[in-house]
Amino acid sequence: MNFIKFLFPFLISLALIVGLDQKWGQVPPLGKFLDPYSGFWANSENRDIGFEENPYINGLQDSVKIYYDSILVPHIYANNDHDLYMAQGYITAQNRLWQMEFQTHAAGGRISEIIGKDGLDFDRYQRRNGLLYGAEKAVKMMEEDPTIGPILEAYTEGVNEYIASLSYQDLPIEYKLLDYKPEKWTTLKSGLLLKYMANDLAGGDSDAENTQLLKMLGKERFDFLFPDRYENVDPVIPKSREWDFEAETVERPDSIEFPLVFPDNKAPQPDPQNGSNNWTVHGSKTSTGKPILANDPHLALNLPSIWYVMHLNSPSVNVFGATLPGALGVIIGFNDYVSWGVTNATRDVRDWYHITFKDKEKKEYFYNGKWLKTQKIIQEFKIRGDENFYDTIYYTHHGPIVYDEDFRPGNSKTNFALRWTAHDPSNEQLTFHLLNRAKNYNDYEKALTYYDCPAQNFAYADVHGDIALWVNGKFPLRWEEQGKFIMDGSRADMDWAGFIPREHNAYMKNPEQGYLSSANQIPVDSTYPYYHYDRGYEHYRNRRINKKLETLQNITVEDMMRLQNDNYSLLASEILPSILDSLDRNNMTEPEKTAFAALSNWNFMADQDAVAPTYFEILWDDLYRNLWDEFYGLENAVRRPELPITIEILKGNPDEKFIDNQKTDTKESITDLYQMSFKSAVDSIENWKSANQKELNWSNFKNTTVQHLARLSAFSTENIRIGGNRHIINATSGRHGPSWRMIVSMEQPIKAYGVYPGGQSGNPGSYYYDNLIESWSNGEYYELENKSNASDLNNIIFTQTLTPEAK
Amino acid sequence: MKFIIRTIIIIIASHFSLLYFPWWSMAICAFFAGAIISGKNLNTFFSGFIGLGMLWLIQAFIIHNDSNGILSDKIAELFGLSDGIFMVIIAGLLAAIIGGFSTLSGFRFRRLFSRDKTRGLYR
Repeated sequence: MNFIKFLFPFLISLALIVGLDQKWGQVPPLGKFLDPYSGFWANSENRDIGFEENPYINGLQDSVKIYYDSILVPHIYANNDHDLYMAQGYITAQNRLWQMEFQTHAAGGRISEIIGKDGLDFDRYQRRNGLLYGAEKAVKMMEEDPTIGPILEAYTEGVNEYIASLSYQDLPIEYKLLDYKPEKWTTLKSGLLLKYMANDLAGGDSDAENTQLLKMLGKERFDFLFPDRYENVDPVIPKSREWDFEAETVERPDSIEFPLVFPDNKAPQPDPQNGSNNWTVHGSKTSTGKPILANDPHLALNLPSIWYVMHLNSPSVNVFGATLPGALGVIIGFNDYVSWGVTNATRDVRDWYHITFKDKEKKEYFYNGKWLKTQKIIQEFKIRGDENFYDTIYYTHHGPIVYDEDFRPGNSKTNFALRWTAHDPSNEQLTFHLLNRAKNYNDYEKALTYYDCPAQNFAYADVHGDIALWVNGKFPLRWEEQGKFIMDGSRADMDWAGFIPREHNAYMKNPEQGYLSSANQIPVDSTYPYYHYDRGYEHYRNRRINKKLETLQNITVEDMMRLQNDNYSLLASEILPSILDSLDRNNMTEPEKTAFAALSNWNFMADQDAVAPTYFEILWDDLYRNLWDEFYGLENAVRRPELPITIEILKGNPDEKFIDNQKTDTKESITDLYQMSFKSAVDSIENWKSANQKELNWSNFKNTTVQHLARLSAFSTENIRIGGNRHIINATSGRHGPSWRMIVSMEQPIKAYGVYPGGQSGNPGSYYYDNLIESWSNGEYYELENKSNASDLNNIIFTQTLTPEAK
Repeated sequence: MKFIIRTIIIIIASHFSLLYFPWWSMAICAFFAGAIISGKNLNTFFSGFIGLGMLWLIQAFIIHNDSNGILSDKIAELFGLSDGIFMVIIAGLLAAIIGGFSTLSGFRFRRLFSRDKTRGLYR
């Protein structure tokens, strides 16, 4: 009896302990998690800074001092480069460990290790798309580089020293919530992070869609609706540039037949909105007589932020700017002599080849009249709570077979190999290493020669007064239309003949107009001697920026801040008046009258409090959809015509057959489309009003959200009060926008300002997790000081000394 | 009196144990406290219940309060609750239940080896 009386409470206790020490579905292990001593409570920091003040670090050569300023930007002072990069690794991990690991797991196709089998399709695509394959090659090249190799190793050690110091209590909250532990950092992870960015910025293409459209429309209609370039473009490199070199040529094969097969179940592509603005203004146009540089990269708005801001100082370098957690050095920033900023040099660098195998074994494929051998690699996927999954990937000389009958076969069930510049060995870290130390234009130009992918427009300004902009990266040398459609993988003349020589990449230095800018538009005008193609150049931000820069004189830093926050919708200004003119003003309902009045009185500023942009947003979406209804609801999603051709048709081609809506019996005119779209837009807004208890204005309507990487809404910031939109300089849409704003005036001493939608801490329990969002949305900036002397720093709130382990 | 002493021992021992050991180490403390200082079933159960419950409740409340609920509010939202204070209460309840049963099992463990003197005297 006594034994049962013991056993009963004892078993309950045991069951509770065992049960609450493990994860149940989405619920974290509650015992561990709710423990006030080491559970999630231990991550509640608020304004406290929980860093260890004097951590001992194995492998440091000397002690390193770190001063944190009022927004928790670390100013790192080291006595040598080894220690500097070791400290960068340590400090970045201290603030952003979970993010570092999560992003590289994503790049490496290992998300299912954390979230289970829901992540498998994503993971398989990542591996087949070749991010791991590319990262392995890049890491080999980085490790062999005498400059990058040792500091990459030091960075890795720094991260691992931090990881080794952690007990459960110190783990970032996400590990506790998802119940797993950080693993050791490796140089490969740094490589993966760079490929993660390459995929974000250069991982999309429309070859399959183009092929489908070619089949659907025929060549003539395709060329009309999807031209390579439009009239009146304003390219990155001004039209005044003359090409003073002998271009290499590549023969277009006589008989080209694009195989009209395509992967018809493609994996999700990176957001085509990923883009950016940058500009650099010559001293002749500024109030100080010295150049000003501005940059704001547009990416998905995430928490923890993609950027971590740092000041790195050693005897060889004194650089300040935005870093990528996981990568060495500063990516966008300035030192005592130069400043630089990047935008995506939008250009197609991914081509697809239709592959014919000899048999089901896939050991050989047909190429140039012969059978070539494939390489077969079996990839293992560990799945949380499930058995391992194995995927066989075949490699051709083009690259990996991404789509076949085993992966997203679609209806075509055929094999497509991917050729992508991100698969080639490259050492982009060396570019940033040299830029961080650049003293003049020649240093900058030399640094860029090591940069391959993702291609970027590097804007430059220095204290000597030079400004420049290079459209920089490794671009395939192509015959006209090569790579626009799926190509026949058995023909040698479909392969890339080589690459455009570095020195033939488009650039400009100190132009007469006194400024240079880029905003993901077409890089050059039609006189550039090399064929270049992309599915989605931007057509509005660039023109607005250039128009402003052209008219502004005596430019100040404040002018540049205003320009970065400019909400003018050039798109609306170009189409809305003609829409409004053709609307029937009689017989309008009350809500329609209100909408009409709002739109007619609109100054085209998509400001947060404005009402008109809400009507325009839906009106334009509906109009676009009504015009191109033939392109919606197809069995396979296709791309749709770009904005310039859309507007051209609306304004100048009343007989275009697409204007007729296929769903109706009557034949619509453009005016009918306008009328229909206006009415449906007003209806949608009325519905929005009754569904939402909020005031109707632009920021409430678009609901800009900075979302946690694991999509936990509790860790995200929603409904941020900010204007802007796609195709507007302040490119803030619902989930996307300027991820870092920086302005650097190259006066003496250099004045620099920056802000980003997030915070330096990766901990949702810290005040510094999202404290910069409000300033960002208000268009406010923080001063960035790269004082080479620590004693000159202002507003230091915390100091940390990394000390070498005593022997 | 024994109740108060046992409760205090549970609180102090668990507090120090939790600084260095995993969360379930507090159950071991409660178990031993129950075994060392005997009482009645309900009496031991409640000293564990109140001891560990109060410990977690108070510690969690201090953190919740000092940090202005910066994280507890967010975690509460993840659990579908409106305020971080609920996380304080849930933590307290969870520790209380574990405390109650482990103290009781400690006491019943002791009973496996020693005779129940009270029973002989009064029945």
